[in-house]
Amino acid sequence: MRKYVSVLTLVAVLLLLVAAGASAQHSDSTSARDASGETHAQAVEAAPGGDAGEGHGGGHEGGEHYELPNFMMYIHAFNRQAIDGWLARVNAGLPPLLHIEWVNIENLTYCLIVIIILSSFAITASRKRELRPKSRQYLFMENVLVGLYDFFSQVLGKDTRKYIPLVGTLFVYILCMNLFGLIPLMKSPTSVWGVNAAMAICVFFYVQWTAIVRNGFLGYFRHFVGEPWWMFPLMVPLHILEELIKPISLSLRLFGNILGEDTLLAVFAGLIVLIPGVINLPLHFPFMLMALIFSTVQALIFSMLAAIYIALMLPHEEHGH
Amino acid sequence: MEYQAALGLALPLGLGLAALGCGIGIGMAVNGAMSAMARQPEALGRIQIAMIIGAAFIEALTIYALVIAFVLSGKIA
Repeated sequence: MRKYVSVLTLVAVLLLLVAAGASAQHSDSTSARDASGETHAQAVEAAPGGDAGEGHGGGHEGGEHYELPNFMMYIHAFNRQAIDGWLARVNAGLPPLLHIEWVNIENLTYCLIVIIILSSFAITASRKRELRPKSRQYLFMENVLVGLYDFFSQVLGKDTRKYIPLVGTLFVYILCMNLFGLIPLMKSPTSVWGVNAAMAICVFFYVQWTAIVRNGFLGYFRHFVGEPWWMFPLMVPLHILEELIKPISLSLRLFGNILGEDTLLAVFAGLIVLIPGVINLPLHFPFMLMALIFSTVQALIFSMLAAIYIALMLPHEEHGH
Repeated sequence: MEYQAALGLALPLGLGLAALGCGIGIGMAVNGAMSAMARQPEALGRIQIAMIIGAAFIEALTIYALVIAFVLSGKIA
């Protein structure tokens, strides 16, 4: 039984992240799809000609952004009337803040695909645990885990074992989501702010909870007051602001990087059809190599910063707070 | 000047200015990290990670400008 606990923790964390993502996702649901009219299926072809024919719909705020086609887009394009009617019927019963749009379903679908792949891989690998393992899948997973452990132990020190389920899961999950956009007909769910905001909010609450558990309530408040205690009128608001800004910058960094990278790919893929010639050159190929590096670095930074935020909250011996 | 024209001028210019500052910042960070790595090759891993995290903090400033550009670019046309 105990050996399934880690796997179950992983699945539970991922499901929590998705559930939080569903509610956080609405804020940026005005998208290019509404802007570019009915040219869904030819999103790439329509991309560079955004200024030519298909302008933006009237009341949409938020910029249009170009993106490579994904298969959920095709599903919507082929069953447009049925899906739109269904969404309108669902939205009629919901308050305006919770309205569902097709983009939300799209992103959640890609999140769920990543989660299903990761969890089934982890579960099947952890079934074959032996002292002298023969299965390559298990060895692969163990290598990943040991690598992550060594990496995060630079920051977390002797507490790595306690906190690696969260930060390691974040790293693997974000890396897979970032790289998912490079597969044809797939999309990076991290290029939406809601998904990243969900993860950042989870990290935020986990960090606060860790601080309270490890330092006690008094130590937690002493951390907010700061070193010379009579400076507290200045330090307390500053510390609270600092804590609140952390999740915002954490999620915006990932979102902006992945969105920028995907937009760059889509714009250059759209340029391919503009250049006349017999052969279509893969103009966006060098940017895909760049995207490989950036996806890895962003996943690393998100999980590393989460680990650093946790490590900052742990009790340290040299000074009192 | 109409606000669309102002936006069309200001968005790329602002993004370029943000990229300029962050370019200088990342250049200085990588410069320091490179010389540190050359002096102490045995501490290469730790320096590299610290450099990447610092570079991410600097790069985030450009990303904020990029997000603003994405948000406002719908209002140009």
